[in-house]
This record gives sequence, C-alpha cells and structure tokens, in this order.
Amino acid sequence: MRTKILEAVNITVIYPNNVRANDNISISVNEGEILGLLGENGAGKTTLVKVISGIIKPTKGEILLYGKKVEFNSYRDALRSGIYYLSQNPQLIEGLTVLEDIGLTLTLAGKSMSRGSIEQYVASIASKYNLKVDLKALSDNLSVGERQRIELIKPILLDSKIIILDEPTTHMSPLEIESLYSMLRDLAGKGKSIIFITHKIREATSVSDRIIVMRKGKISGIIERDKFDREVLLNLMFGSNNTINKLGLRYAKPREYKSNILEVRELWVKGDYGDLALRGINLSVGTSEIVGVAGIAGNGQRELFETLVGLRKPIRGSIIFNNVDVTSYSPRDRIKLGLAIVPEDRLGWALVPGLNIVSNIIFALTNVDSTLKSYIIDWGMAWRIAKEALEIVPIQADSLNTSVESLSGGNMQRLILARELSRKPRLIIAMNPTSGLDYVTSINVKQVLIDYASRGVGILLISEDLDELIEVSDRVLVMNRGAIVGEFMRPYSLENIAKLMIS
Amino acid sequence: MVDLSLLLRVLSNAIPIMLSAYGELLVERSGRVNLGVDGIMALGASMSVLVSAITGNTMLGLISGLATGLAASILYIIPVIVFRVDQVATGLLLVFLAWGLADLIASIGYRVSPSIPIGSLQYNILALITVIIPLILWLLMYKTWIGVEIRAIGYNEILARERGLRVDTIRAIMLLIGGALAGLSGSYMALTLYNGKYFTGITGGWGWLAIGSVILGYWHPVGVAVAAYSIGLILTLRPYLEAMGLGPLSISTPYIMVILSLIIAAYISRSPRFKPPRIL
Repeated sequence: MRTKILEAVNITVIYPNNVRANDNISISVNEGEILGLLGENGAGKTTLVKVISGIIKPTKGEILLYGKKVEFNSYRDALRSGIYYLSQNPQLIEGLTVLEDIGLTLTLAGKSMSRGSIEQYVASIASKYNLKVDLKALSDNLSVGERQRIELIKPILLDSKIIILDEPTTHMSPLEIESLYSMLRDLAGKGKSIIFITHKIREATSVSDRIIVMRKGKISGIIERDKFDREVLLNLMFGSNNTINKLGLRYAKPREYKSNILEVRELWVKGDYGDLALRGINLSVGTSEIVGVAGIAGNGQRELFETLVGLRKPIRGSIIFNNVDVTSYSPRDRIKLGLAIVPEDRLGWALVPGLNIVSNIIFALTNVDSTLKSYIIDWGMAWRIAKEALEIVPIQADSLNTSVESLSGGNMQRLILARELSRKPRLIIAMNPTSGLDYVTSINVKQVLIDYASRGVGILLISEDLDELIEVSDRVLVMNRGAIVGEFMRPYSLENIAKLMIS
Repeated sequence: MVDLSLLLRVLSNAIPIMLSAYGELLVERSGRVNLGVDGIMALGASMSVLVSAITGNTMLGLISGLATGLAASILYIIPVIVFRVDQVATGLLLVFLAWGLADLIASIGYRVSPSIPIGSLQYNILALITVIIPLILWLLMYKTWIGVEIRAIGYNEILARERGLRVDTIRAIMLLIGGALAGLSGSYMALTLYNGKYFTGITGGWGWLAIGSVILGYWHPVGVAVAAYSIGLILTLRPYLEAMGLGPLSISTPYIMVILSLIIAAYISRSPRFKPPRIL
C-alpha cells in the first residue's frame, strides 16, 4: 500500500448560520493518487478542502500531514506545507501583472524567486504542459481560462505535494479537459497527490484512482477504480434509488410549431473592444420551439444575448420579435412585448442584492405593467403578486422578506424564473441557466423550460453545457467566432457538434 | 533670473508636504486612508519643540517628533485595523484629538526651542533623505515582492486575505511608517520653517495638502514627489504673486493645478502600470 500523505480526521464544520457543512468527516490521501471528490453542490466538498488548505478553521477535527498533526491558521500555512488549492473561480489580483501575481504566491509560500528565474521556469512548464501564458499581461483583462492556466502553473512552480482542484472543468472545453487529465496523470506519476472535486460522475470516473462521494456534509461512500459504476455513484450522491429515477425530464407531447416568434436577420455587432463580436447572425425561434445555441465561451454568445435583450446596439441587421421590428427598442419595451430574460449573472444582473424577495419580484413587474404602476407602494398587493409568482416556480426561503443574496444559487434561479414567467412571456432568452446549479435544480430548471415551450412559448437557450442543449433543444445552432456555423436536429451527433465548436 | 534662495525656499516648503505624502502614499497603497495626517503633524511639532527646548538638542527634537507620530498612528490602528471602525470617521476624529493634544503639550510652557536653520547640517541631511525617499519607495513598490504584496492588498483586500496575505499586519506597518513620517514632517515645520516655535494651527492645513498630493501624484512615488514640489512652489510664490497684485491668481493657482493634474492623471491612467489602489 502506498504511503498516506495527508489525513483529515473527524472534521466537523458548523457555519455561523448553524449549517453543518461537514459532519465528522475523515479522509486520507495517498502519495501519487488522484482522489476524486464527488458530490452535489452543497454536499460540503469545497468546505472540506478549504479546511485542508487552511482557509476555513474546522469547528472540530485535525489534519495530519505525513502522520504529524499540523495547525493551519491561514492558507499561507498550508501553502508552505506543500498544499495548493485551486479555487473554482480562479481570481488574480487586479493591478498586478501575471508575473507579479505568480511571484507573490511564490513569496507567500516561502519560495521567493527573481523575476528572471520565474520567467524561465514558467516558460519550461508552459511548453511541457501546453499552458500558454503572457507573463507581462495585466491580471485585470484575463479570461477565466487564462486565469486557470496561471493557477495551474503555480503548484508546479511551487512543487506542491498536494494539489486540490475545485471544479476545474467548469469553464473548459472538451479538448482542454483532456489535456488537464493528462497533466494530472503526469503529476500523479511524479508522486504528487491530487484532489479533484467535481459534481459530474463522468469526470470523476475518467481521471480518479479512487472516488470519495459526499452527500449532505457526510461521506456516503469510498470506491476504488476497479469498482467504478455510474449507478452506484448516483445512488451514493443522491441517496435512495427512487428519488433519482423520478428526476428524469418529462417531455410533453410533440409540440406544434406555428410561426416564428423571433427572427434575427444579418446581425452584426461590435464587442467590448471594438472588434466584431457577431458577424451576420441569422436565426429564428418558433412558438413552442426550444432553440439551443452551442459554442465555447467567448465566441459571441454573450454579445448575442446582450443584443437580443436590448443592451447592445447592433451596427447592422434587424431583430423581429412578435412581428415587430424591435432592433432599436430598449430592454423595457421588449419586455413589454413579452420577453423574459434569464441572464447568466444571477446576483449581479437579474436580482438586486440587499432587497428582499418581494421587492425583487415586484420592481420588475411594476416597471412594465402599467396597471400596477403607482407612486406609493401597496405592500399588500406586492406580497400577493410575489406569492402568486412563486406558485409558478416554488422556492425555499424562510420568508419572502429574506434578502436575496442569502438564497442558494438554485433558489435564486427559481426566483428569477418565477418572476420572469409571471409576466406570461412569449419568448424566453436564457443564458447558461443551469450553470453552477446542482443536479436536481438543473432538472427543475430544464423542466420549466420544456413545460413553457409546450404551452407555446419560444425559448432561445444559449448554453456552454452541450449535454443540456442536446437534452432539451429541438434544434441546436453552433456558434464559432461570432457566426453560426452549423445547425443540428434530433437525433444529435455530439461529435459533429463538438467538432464545429472547436474548428 | 533664477534666484537660488527661491529654489531653496521651494524645497523647504515642499519637504514637510513630501514627508507626510510619502507616508500617506504607503498607507493608501495598502488600501487605507489616514485622514489624521494633519493632526499627527501638529502633535509632532509641539512634541519636538518641547523636547528640543528641554534638552537643547534639535536632533532629539526631530526624533521625538517621529516617535510621537508613530505613537499617534496607534490611535488610528487600534480602531480601524483591530476593531474595523470606519476609517474616515476615525481619521477626522484623530485630527481634532491630535490638535488638542498638541496644544496640551504646548501648554506645559515650552513654545520656543532651538531651531534647525536652512542650510545647517541637520537640514541638509533631512533634505537629502527627503529627496531620496521617492527612489526608495519606487524600488520598494515595483522591484520587491514585499512591494507587490503591499500593492496587492490595496487592489483587492478580500482576495488578498483569501490568498493568505498579511493584510492587517502590512497595513499596520504602513500606518506606523506613515505616522512616523507625518510626525517628522511636523517637527520639521516647527523647528525649521517656524524657527523653533509652536503655535496653535501650526500646520496651516499642510497635512491636507499632503493627502492631496498623493492623489495629484496618482499614487506613484515620483508623481507624488512632483506634486509635492509643485505645491511647495505655489506656497512659495504666493507672497510674491500677492505683492505683484495677482492675489486672486495665487489663490486660484491650486485649483488650476488640480484640473491640469487630473487631465494628466486621466491620460496616465490609461497605462495599466499606474493603476491606483482601490481605497475605501
């Protein structure tokens, strides 16, 4: 048996709001193994690794490194003991150059280097693992992918013994995921231990030597590579077999396509930096039709979304919504015509943090419904409208007075859907509506979209999750470099779609 | 005709602003604003007059001013860094508290002391140090990892904490240095500019000019030095302009300068190298 490099013993974490994120958890990590940590959002995976890396202090329990008890007071201590934590949304400190950011981490870990030697080391790592980075670039302007590459280089520079990756594939293309896997295998072969956090069973089984499944703050199972089985893992993740079987998507009877609710003709749009983000987009969405837009992030999807909802002015082309040319309409006027908007950024765009649930529902309705307009707020009516909206898509909250930022991501998305749908829309434009949501909530959200499509609502679903698009869309368009490069109908060929995405 | 004594006067007027501004620069680069600078300067002034009057040693006077500034900044560090009290309120209260304490020290009865005349050895050493500081600060902030750490904390406090940077420790150290420099600046005003005298309101609001020159200098050591010299120049020229009947111009000059420097700042800020800290 291989040597145990790290042990977490009886870890319990109770958050100030009395949530038991980790309940008496013990795990061990062997030298040179890739340990998959599988579980739903909120299962306590991130909390556990944050304890291991000194970011969170456990309420109870201890960490043993090479059999010796260690006490981490901050991430810095863990870093100095050879643990590297790569967060789900890697951030660099704005204002610093990439080189300075890397150097700072090295300094924190007690392995300060001169700028020249950092440049040298990074260059050799970059060519070995195909991780291209521009050291002189300013951290502010980097994409998630670039930030992730920089974060992947750091533990190699530091020669960290234990590398923890928290949902690293969220923003990666299938090709990038493959090269990440081979890099992890290479590192494990050199005796590094890797903890790989994911909520996708396919990812966990394809790279791990051993999988620890977590559920509701506890370990529900530990499975070795030779016993990997999708069904078993699903049951461990979600509990009894019954609940998961009920969770499949229900498709309504074949939907009837009548007329186009949305038509986009020759749409040319400039990006943030004056470059062309959309190059002559043509698309249409019929009533009762779900049209999916696939593509790797950064190929114009965000610009398409912003243009269609009215936040970005096209330089050429027209948008016909409900037989009206809305190209020059404001978002508000489009909403009045029956547009529902489900943006990617829930708390920044869709909801107003600090306001309670009722206010977050009501302000979006009074603005477009003149019968609700008044100068003095009728709170009784506001609560009634909010309650009605939440009957469409129920949420879990202590009270409607709860401030929205305390809701979970899933409940935020349900709230947004409830509000948008309460306006009885004709068209829903959604961008990555299930990103970051757990399995059950994702299914709920997708089911809501399917149900509304069967009632005659057109849906444009822009998503980075190809599985999701294939699951719900009647038609899938592929976007690449600001243009639609392909259209697919059922039955879909995943391979062909993926090829067009990266071509 | 360039009058050498005029240049010397500009330098002499710029020195206290520069000393305080450098301290404030470090504080602001680490993501805090100490509005108490003017008060700390007054405290340094009265303490240095007291000490050099009693001991007859102006060097001890300067050192005591510096030490007083260091001690006074603890009055800011404890509430703001330890108890996370609002920094603006604390800074403003510190100004009034320090002014009062300065007068209290002066009320012991020592308001006149030996002075450090312009051109003396001590003056020259102090002037030399003041002129060299921007270079040291520039090296510190852009060429050392500790400097990168200071800037990182000023750019993104939350991320810095998560990354394990010593946010509070570094801020406290910057505030101590800032306080010490403000205290030294105050003693210089009393011992040199006012020939060893302390009086109520001795700083004449120059602490605020120091904070202003950090902004005018766009949080860059060299920029702050230039801003402080320019303010020193205006302060020096003011009597001349007034004598020439250009009083209104002398009063409006600082404002014209602010607008000009903001235009320059807007231009410079396009260069990412000069990104200011995210304060408050």
